[in-house]
Amino acid sequence: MSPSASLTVLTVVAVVVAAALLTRVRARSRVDYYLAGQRLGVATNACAICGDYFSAASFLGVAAAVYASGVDGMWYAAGFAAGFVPVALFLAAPLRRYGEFSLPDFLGRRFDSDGVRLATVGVVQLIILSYLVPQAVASGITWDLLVGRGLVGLSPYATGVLLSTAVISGLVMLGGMRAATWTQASQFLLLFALLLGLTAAAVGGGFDYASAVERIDTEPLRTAVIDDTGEWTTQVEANRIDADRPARFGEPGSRYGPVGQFALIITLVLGTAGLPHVMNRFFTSPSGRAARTTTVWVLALAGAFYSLAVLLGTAARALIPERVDQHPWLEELTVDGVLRVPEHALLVIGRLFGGDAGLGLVAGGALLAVMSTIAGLLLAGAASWGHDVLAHHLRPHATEHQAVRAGRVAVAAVAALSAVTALMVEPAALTALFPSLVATMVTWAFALAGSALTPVLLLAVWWPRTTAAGALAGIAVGTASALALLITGIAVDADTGDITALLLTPSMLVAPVTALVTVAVSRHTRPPTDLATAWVRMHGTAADRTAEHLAQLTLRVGTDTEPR
Amino acid sequence: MPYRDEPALPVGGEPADDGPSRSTRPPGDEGAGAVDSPAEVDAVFRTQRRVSVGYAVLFALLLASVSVFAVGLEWWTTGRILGGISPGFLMAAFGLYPVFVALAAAACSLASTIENRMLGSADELWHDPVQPRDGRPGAQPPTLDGRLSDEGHSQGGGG
Repeated sequence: MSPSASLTVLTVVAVVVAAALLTRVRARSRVDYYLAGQRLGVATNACAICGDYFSAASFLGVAAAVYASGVDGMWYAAGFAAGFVPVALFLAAPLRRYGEFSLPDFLGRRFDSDGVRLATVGVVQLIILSYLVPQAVASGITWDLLVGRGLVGLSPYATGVLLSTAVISGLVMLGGMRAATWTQASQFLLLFALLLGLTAAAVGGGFDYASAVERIDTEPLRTAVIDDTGEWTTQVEANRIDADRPARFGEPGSRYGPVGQFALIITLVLGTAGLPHVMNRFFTSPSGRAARTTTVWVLALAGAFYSLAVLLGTAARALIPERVDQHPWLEELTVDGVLRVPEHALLVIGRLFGGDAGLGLVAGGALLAVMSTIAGLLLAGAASWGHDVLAHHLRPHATEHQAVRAGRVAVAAVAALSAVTALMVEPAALTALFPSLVATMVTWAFALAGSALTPVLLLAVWWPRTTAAGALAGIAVGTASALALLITGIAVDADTGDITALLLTPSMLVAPVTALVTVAVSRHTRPPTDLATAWVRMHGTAADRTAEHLAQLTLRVGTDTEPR
Repeated sequence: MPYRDEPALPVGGEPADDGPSRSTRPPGDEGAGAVDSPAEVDAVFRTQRRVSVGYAVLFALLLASVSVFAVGLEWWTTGRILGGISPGFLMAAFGLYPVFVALAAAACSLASTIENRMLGSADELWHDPVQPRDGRPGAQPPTLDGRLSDEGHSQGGGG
């Protein structure tokens, strides 16, 4: 990477880190540290949720998946966004109104069961790790590609992994949820501005969406692969819906058959509602209604963000083959006009239209996407260890200061564990197996969340007959089944069509089993008693009305005391 | 031996006792000043559950139809409506997102309306009498029975 691109990357990252440090407020209590004082406005929280949610899988991965698989890659974007519809319909308001610190805390309190709390902590840690590792892998890949040099004797990949994890875990340890909120909100706005800028540059540079799709569709969809002799070549993608025709960019079938496509969407839709770092954010809203409204904002922002990412993936597929002759640096990254690594699609578009500065901006954006998601995941990990395990089990009488300190230690421990795991991953080997490595790895976290947690959460909120034993059984069966199918899917040949797709995105199969087990065991165990308090708290609006009334009073007092 | 009996939610008019305060819970959610009775909340919960499930069915049909059209409707994938863009491509690239937003916004709006109309009768006096919550100066607080019928929704205990 040229000095100007490096400088741009460093500037982008430094500005956001400085903003986080400047907006840092010293956390005095767990509510301050984990929930930002529960005073986040709708717009701020929606932007922060987007910053939290739009990881490298969204920023680089969606464009890469669209570049590699055309319409089939768009299902990632549609599924990522669609996941917030069930959240808005079923979970945002009740979760916030029940008012806990984390998902394990919510389920533990709802069932008054330490077993449920600890089981949920275990699943949450698995989800966090499976989400953290691809983020760290993405930062390693980005550093390797753009800087190409390691620090203090480390490889470039290891340097990227360790540096990004160290920087963001330091920020989270210092500032907690409030600092993370401002960092994530500003990072989302920066990422969104980057996508808007790239789109404007592409359209201004002559890219026409409709005619580009028509032009791409005149030829079969090709992918770069390494052949048996170890040389890069391209191959035409098989059509998994209509075997008699080659796959095309604008038609489904290049990656998924009819079952696989639906399985992916269901896994992403169900998974979102069980992601701890995203759902924990709803506890930071001032009221249940605000949490619900925030979700609608998130959906609107996600729609705009993913529409642009899809457009840019299409632009990369259309423009790169035409520009290889004019830009010699593209020859190193492509084979017969097709990118070797699809995750480079957005970076290449940045360089095509913005030169070295454009490349630096997109690379900086990718690192920021990684960092903001790592921040949310680390906070979710800290909340489940520091609050759910330490404050509830190990030291129930810990002071607020001790609990916050435990959260900071947990951040460091979870960050170290994820970095070590990411260092053991062989990105090159996995890139050969999956068309979009980062997006694919992230779906494994969605699969775990959607299979093990979401069905239990939905039943806990909407079926009063659910018991602790039922929830525990559902979580256990869901986790074990999802893990078994995922491991089988990774182990078998990656190109066996719908069966592999079902194994790698198993929520369509496992979530109903989890729900059935939860219901069956609940029906065979003693019904819960004393639900009235929980139900009034979860589905009533007294706290919302009080908060709204107090806010009105505050505004009125402020207006009355203004000088006339 | 299965336990068949549903948990009985108290349906009296008294506000639920929130029990002793628990030091590990985020403060400020106790609803001091406003109260909901378990009977009101139970009715709201059942209505909300029915409404949410209805919207979820719509959402599932939308997702399923996109997948089914892709497989069973050739025009959906090979037809051209905007230059070189097919209806399926347009839906996957842009069209789904506004539908998601509209669906969620409509559901959230209805959910808030249900809550506004069915909850809060116990703290009517606590609100500013000059500016009642329905915005009509001098309006009488609505009765529980009449609230949802205004909107054409029943308050049945189904679900």
